[in-house]
Amino acid sequence: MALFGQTFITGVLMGGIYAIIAIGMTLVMGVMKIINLAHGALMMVGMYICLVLFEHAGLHPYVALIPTMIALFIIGYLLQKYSIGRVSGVETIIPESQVLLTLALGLAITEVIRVIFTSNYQIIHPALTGEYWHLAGMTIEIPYLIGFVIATIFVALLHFFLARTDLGQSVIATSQDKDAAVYMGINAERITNFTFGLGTALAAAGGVILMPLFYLYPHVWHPYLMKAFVITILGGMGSTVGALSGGLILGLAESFGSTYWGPQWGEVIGFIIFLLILLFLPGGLKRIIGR
Amino acid sequence: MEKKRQWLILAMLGILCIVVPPFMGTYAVHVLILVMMWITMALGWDILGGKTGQISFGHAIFFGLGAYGGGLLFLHWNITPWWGMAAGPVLAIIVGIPIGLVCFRLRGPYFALAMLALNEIIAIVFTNLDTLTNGATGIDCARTWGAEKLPYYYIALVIAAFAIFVTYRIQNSKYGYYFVSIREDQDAAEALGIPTTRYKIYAMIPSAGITGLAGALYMNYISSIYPETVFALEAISIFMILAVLIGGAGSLWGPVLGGAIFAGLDEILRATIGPISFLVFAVIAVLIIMFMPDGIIGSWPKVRAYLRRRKLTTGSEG
Amino acid sequence: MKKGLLSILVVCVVALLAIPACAPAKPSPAKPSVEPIKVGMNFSLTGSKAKFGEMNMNSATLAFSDFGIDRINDRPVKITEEDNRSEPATAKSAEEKLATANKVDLIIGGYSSSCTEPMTSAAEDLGIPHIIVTGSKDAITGKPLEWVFSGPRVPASHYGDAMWEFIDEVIIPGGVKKVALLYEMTDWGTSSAKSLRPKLEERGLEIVYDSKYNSEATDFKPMLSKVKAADPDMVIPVSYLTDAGLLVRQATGLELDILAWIGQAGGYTMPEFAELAGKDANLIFSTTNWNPKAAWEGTLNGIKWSGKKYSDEYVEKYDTEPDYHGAQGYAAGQIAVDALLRAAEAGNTINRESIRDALDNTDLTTVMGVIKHHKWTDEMGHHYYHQGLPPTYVIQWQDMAQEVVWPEDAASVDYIFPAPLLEQ
Repeated sequence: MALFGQTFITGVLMGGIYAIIAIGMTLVMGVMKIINLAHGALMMVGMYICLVLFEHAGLHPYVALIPTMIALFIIGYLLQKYSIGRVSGVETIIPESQVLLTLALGLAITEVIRVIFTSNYQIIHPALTGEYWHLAGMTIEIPYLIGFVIATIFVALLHFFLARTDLGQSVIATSQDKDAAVYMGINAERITNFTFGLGTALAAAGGVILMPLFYLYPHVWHPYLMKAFVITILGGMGSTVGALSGGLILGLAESFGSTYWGPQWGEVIGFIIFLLILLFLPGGLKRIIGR
Repeated sequence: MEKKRQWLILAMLGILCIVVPPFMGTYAVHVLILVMMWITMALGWDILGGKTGQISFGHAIFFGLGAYGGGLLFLHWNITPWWGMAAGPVLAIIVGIPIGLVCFRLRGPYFALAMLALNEIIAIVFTNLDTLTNGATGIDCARTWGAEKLPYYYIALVIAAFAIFVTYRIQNSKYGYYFVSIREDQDAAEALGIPTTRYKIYAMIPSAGITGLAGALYMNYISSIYPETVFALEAISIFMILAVLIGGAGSLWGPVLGGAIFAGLDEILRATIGPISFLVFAVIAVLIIMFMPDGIIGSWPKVRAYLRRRKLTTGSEG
Repeated sequence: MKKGLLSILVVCVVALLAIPACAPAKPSPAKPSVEPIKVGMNFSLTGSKAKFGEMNMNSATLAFSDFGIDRINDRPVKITEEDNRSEPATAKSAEEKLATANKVDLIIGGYSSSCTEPMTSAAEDLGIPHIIVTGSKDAITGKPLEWVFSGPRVPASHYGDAMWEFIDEVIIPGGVKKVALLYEMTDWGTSSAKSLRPKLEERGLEIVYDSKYNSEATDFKPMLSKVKAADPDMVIPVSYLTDAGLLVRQATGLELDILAWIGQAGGYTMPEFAELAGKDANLIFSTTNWNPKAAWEGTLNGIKWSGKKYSDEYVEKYDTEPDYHGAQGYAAGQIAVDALLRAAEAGNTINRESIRDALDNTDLTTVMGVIKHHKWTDEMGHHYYHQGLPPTYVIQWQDMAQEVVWPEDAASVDYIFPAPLLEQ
């Protein structure tokens, strides 16, 4: 029973952290209709900014969260405005030139970071790292719990922002029908830039949450990018609730898979769910839960 | 006249590729072998990605199966891995068809992501099915020639020439036009009565087969394979796309040029500027996608027109 | 328009064909006496294994400068470095470039097995002596190759050799009966596990959990919960660096109640492990192939060296502590220096053949202990050629430092056992 409980808790907490990384991607995919392969690399940049803030300004990652997000918002905004956005609408032979651009950008960003910081593993020990709660034979790592809470708060804030503010409504309008949004007087280009910045900032938040739990090196983002895709497809593009539930489902699937099938198969379960959703429930959970 | 001239230039190129290598050092021939391998891979990817517009992020599946085709024969029955040249592509096609049947229902980014996920799944499966694939330990096979590079080179050259020939034939056949019509507008193609899924499968077969052939060559030439290296997402699947993109997708010579630049220029950069070479390469890729989105071959007319305009205006000013 | 395209193609092909023209400058026959002795280094300086490749190479280079052989027989010694990006095909490219374009006389290199394999087969083909540094897959020296020498590498099946004595004399009498075996899922982990299993069983230890895992995972708690449920007395993990740190930290968090955690070298001997695991690193055992406290010392080319001196020098120069990967690089450098000197001593000109013959007779005390290139067969029936077998040790982390605890005559402090994960 303790084993089951532990597996469940681990899955839920991990899922929350996956969700915040994925929610940035789901927003960008919703508005731009492209997959953003630089998402992971940008998350990694956020982690390095957090590292610098911790080491040189002594800011705890949970404090550094806000400045890091602002920095990444700006980076994302500029990247979209001056690089990715430029390619949109250009007639090309193969249709996905924006996607391929994000791919090349991701590689270039990773290399830039590697040249600056080397490929050494960076490890920080802020307060609370390695602290645990024990209850009924189960264990909760406190930074995971805090990460989960932060992620949930952001999901809630984002949900509120999209539903209740003019800017948020413009984002939703653009994602539902870009042309119609433009007719309604929305500056779709600026909204796209804004969304990309916001998505990037949220990815960075996910990265920062991982800092007290994990380690950092330039290629750290590979598995998280994959998970973000899985969750985006699982939850449905542009859906905040979908991303949260998708994150939880993936976290639980991996956790239970690792415990009851074998640790080497944990990831495969995620991918299989992903393929099944793609094939049999296009549109993802959004179709079921309605938004 | 124009046509004749093209053939002449091509024939010259071909003769150069045949005649010059025996006079080159082994290292240079080695680089040329990799160049031919990458040309083959780029052409293979382009049949599905460039001509039919189905962007695959998982072509390492076919490369790896091509490599493992010969590898498994050697591992289980001690058969020379050269049979992999037949078995590898066949295995790639056999797996490619069901993948196509399932994934071609998806469009655009969804198809790309599905291939990405399949790539990861197959890499993990090959790592963990120890009894079938020898797991993470990989397969080492006997090499036919040691220091002698030329036989490998000519085999690689023949394979690349075969890939060019297949691409050429496809481009100038009914299939080629159907593929392009699917890329340009799938719904319209369907409305015109083209069974799009079936034609995508028709594109998948040579695409998987040719990529598998490159994998079989890799198996024989490098002589040791591991799931993590032949099913590599970044080093194989994604680099294949970059190679095509640099040269120009959807054409015959774009992937050829892209493959050559990718393997050749990359090796030159690595050998000269060392550890920052990959950064330089990534930046070049970004700039090409931004400013020459159809690749060097595809965007060449535009660039030339631009240059010509510049010349004219500066000429009139001066 | 088509003409333009074709002319680009022509230019490219011609440029490619022209590579050899500019790359290998022909050796000028006019002054053969000052032709330098060239040593090539083929390491992973970028890519996923860069951290280890760097340490390998820095240490090998350090050995060359330490032993002052900038000239042998009036020929200067020149080192050429190549980055193989941790990619097998590139590793082959680099090896071939060194052998044929740079025309080096000797190559040192190889961290990951997937890169070492194509390197050594290229060296064999091209007839150039190659000293392996780390690449641990058993089969690499498992075939009779003429030009390939193990150097300080330890075959994956023999990483744990020193541990068995320790297990027999300390662990089993201490009451350990049930073992959990965890190993990362690449070749190194799986072949290590393959050799650990029968040796554990023949000692009557029961393997209650046995699984591979993906070393890049974030959260190992599902696996560790399962381990906890199996209730072992001891955990034997084969881990890289980051997974080692996270495993220990998370196992401590889960209050895994065991008597000993014995890592199989890899990450468990690196300073970053202690950084990542923090105070939880305390009392963790690991096998290792080297430790600065293992008192190997000697004289080479008239210059005194010791493991401690090497370690201090490395820290001073690169601002980070070396572990056995560094020592392997340094030992490979020592073996190379020794071979070059002996090749010159015999009165021969130094060339690939004389270096190969010198390496064939290598029997040298290095920072890794005595390394003798010879042919032997182990108890599992694996044959090895040109393979030395550096001694292994058991270390224990005590107060955030690694101390050698076994074999007893090499121990720097007494071991602490039982060594639970929890706070004492």
